[in-house]
Amino acid sequence: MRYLLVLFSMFLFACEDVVTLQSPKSDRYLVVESTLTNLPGPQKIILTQSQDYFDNTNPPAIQGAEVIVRDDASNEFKFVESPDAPGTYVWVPTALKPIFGQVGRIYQLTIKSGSDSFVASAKMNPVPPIDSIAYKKATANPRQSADGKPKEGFEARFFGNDLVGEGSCYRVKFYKNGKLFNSPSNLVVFYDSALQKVSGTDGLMFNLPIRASINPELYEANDKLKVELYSISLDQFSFYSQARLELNNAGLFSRPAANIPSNIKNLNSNSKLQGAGWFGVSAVSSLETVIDPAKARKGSDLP
Amino acid sequence: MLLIVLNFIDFFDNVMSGKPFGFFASYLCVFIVNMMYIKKIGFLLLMLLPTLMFAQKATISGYVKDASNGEGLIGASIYIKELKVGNVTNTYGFYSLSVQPGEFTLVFSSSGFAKQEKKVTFSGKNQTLNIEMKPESNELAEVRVTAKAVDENVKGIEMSVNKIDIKTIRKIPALLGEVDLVRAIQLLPGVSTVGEGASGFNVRGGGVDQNLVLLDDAPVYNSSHLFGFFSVFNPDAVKDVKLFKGGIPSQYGGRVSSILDVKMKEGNAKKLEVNGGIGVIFSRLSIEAPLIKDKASFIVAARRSYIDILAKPFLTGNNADATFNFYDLTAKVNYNIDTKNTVFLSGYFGRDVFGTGFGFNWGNSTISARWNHVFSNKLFMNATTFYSNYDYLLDSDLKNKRPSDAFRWTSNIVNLSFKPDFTYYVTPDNTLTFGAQVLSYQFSPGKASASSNGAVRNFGQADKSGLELSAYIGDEWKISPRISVQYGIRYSNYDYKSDDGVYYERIAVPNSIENPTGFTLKPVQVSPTSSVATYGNWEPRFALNLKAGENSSFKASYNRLAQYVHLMSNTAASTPLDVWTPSTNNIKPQIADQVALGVFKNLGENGNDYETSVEVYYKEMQNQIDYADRANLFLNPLFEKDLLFGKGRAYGLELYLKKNVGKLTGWASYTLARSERLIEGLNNNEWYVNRYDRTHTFNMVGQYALSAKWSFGANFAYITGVPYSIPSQKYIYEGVAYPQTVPGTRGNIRVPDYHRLDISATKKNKKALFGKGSSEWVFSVYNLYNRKNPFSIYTQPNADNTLKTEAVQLSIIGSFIPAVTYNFTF
Repeated sequence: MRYLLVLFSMFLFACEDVVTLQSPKSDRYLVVESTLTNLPGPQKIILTQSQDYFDNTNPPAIQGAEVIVRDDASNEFKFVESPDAPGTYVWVPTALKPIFGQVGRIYQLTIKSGSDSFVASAKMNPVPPIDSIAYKKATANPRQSADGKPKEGFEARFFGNDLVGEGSCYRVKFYKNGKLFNSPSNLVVFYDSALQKVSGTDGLMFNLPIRASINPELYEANDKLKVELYSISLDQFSFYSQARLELNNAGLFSRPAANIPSNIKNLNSNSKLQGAGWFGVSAVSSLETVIDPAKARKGSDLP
Repeated sequence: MLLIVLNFIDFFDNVMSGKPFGFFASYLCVFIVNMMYIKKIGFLLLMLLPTLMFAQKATISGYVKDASNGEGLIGASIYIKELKVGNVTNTYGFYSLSVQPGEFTLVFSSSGFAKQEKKVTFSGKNQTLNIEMKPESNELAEVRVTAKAVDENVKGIEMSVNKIDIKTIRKIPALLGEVDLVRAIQLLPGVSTVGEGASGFNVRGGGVDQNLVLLDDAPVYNSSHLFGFFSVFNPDAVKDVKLFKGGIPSQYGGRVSSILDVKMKEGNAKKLEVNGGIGVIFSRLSIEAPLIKDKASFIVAARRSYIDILAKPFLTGNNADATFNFYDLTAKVNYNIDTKNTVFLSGYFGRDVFGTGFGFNWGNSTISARWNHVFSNKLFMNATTFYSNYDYLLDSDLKNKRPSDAFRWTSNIVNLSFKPDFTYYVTPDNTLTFGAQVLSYQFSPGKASASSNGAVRNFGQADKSGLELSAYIGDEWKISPRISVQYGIRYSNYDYKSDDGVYYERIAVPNSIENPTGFTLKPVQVSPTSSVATYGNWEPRFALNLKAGENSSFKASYNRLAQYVHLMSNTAASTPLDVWTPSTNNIKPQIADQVALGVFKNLGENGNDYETSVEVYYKEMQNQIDYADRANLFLNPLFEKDLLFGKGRAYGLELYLKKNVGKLTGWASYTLARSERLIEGLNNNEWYVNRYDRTHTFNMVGQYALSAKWSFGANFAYITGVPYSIPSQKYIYEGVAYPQTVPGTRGNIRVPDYHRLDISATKKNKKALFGKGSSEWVFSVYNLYNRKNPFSIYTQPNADNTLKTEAVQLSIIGSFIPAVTYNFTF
């Protein structure tokens, strides 16, 4: 749809120009950036303050806060501010607790910063495995053929099945040679086995648009392709879907700017400093492959 | 009271005794009368009756037609010199005059046609007089903004109504040289659009779904090709265009902001006529000819875009099999059975098709059949049956290459209707209109089937149906030479049924991310045949004309309108995928009340060289719909959960100046307006400006006829930028700058003002193809001074550094666009 529009816009002499605007005045927000996982290694929670929209300086860190996560099995995880990175609070695994997360548990975040207290909670949902990754030779399509990107290479698919039970939500992250594709258009979340929240796709193989979502550019021989699947809650799906909409809200059919939801609550709802961002916990599955032309699929379309 | 009602029925029985379908008509009258009686508004009848109860007079009636092609002339004036009374022809060219017997001179006149006088003896008998009028030989005569009597704007009861002659529309410089009706009406006061390329139009602060677009009486649900760049009306097939923005007479209903009434040509009844053109976007061809001379004729007009054909050589690889085109076919036949009966059958079929492997198409089709019947010289009937369909299809697998992993989505809305309309010419000073309509709606708001690895699942919204029954009566009465009134009432009754036996009740719950409106839906079982919601609305209409002098008048009007269909759209410009949904138990019908006041004055040596008007209006709209953040409107059976309701208000001032005569003709208009809404749960429950609020609008349209060979056109448009919303705060999340929108900031910026100048030059040639007929070259430049007019401003992270934010201004048309079109006729 958007591609067709671009085609027509070109024909009809459309153009886009960067303009300078004043940011509308408003209160600041305390922002929580965190996705805690069941992977081994340290876990971190980043606290910053929001800025005026067109302020492009570094965001101010929120220092000196007390950050604790508790689960519903009475475990307490203290997050300690890193001396090297102000505003970044880290939990380091110990011999007793080598892994942070466990599927099925509910995690409660508490933050004390100055006179404000914030809370958030999230449940770690299960994640299905990624069964396989396949690829075949391809020529870059217009969206894949920006400057510096390969014109010839391989287009990939990843395969997996939605877990039975309506409303399972996932985020896909994909890496080329260890580098995460992180532009707003590469933010891929899905509901059961479809990109949109529609009922009726429960328990199916991830649908074709999901399988094919990992190709913002083509892969070349010997590239390392890694795909990660994160389980997320339905609310976090809304958070990411709305973020994706807002971040890509352009063109003839744009919507009025809408708020990206947050699960960070200030216990004092009258405080000038309210919460934004998301506290999420995810179970993660992943699969990595090295592109080998000899293993590329032959024939017509990829499955 | 009962006696009066019975008298009334007897009266009509007498009028129609022995005539076919008289039974039906009188049944209809009984229906209307009973309804009014029951509802205790019989006072209206009391007002009407004095005008009906008088001794039989002599009546003369007939059709006024264009001698060159046999088309009925709309709004031609018939005037009795001696009595100083007169009337105008209706949409079909029919007129009727009843006066006391005697010998009188009838004067037939219509702008652009030579005046005719006829000495007629009005005897006691009913007489028929059909007239054919010859077009004025003067070349310049056709450069008129309207074919109506030139002082119609002052003398007529109508206000807030714009008529544009198709000949005028043809002379307005057009985008890519394509003559376009909807783009032309956007140059009228009180009409705007949210931006270049946006589909539809906004009238007096109303939404695009609040306009009833009628093509030969059948509603057209999406009036646009290629999103909103071109409209679906083929200019070669259009005869008359009338836009009602206020003071809407009781015969119209169903939308709350405006009625765009487009009448198609009937087809040349005298000789074969071929019109055509080759432009940048479309090539057009229309053929009209008599089937039986002066008795039956037809017109077939077709257009097709050919960007795809031109682009074919440049498309390679994945895009080689891309199709993108739009086409429409308009056809009409009419048969003049005898002096009392004429039948018309017209149809429109249009479609936009885009696709590579992936396909997307949408289109309208309408069919309407009409029967004009003259019961007596005084009673005219037009009975219409129509079918209208709007549908779209999205298919990920158009060529059925891999059905195991496909997605297919269809949606449509179908209307079927029967609608008899009657005009009763009581006296030259009093015309009564009445009628009724049965209108059925069948909605399929969206059905999808998705397959993944061979497993197929179906989902979407269930079918819904609605039935709208309405009846109206109205009277136009010239009380004295200075005062005329038009008053009437329409009653509409709407019934909603859920075809799948389930409807939803909105249940209040705490606000959450899943339930942003604070409502959830509870399914309730109901029989598919029983009604889920029923609404009835009385819609009073009133208009007054007070003549203030020979060439000026004061007008006032009030109207209430009800609307039972709603377009679900939360994007800047409405998309072809937007879903029409009926009023349900949760979605209440939209209701608008509008008051308008105006002063109309004509100036100049001949009295009517210049038309001027000043109008003010105030409009209140109930049950307006807005959308919660994260509203999911597509394929979501629970979409009613995400709707927010409130009210709207719009008010404004419209100034209009038109020059009718001379080598230079045209108009200028200025509108000062405001359109706001108050929606519960949005913007801190405060009034905020609508997406289509435009403070200042200035339009100028000029046409200059230099010689028989050359003529020129220019138009200038200036509009205040549309309101837009941008986020206030940002934060970094996973390496990307996320926007934070603060509640209460809807419409917190305006995009810069829009202005544009277009010019055109037309060179007429004596000969067309093969040395026959005539032809013309039209050279045009759209957006002459190359302004990048902003459509919207949006914010986004910088593509190279997603931690940085920027604002981007989008111009849909960012340069000047020259075009050449060749038109021919023979």
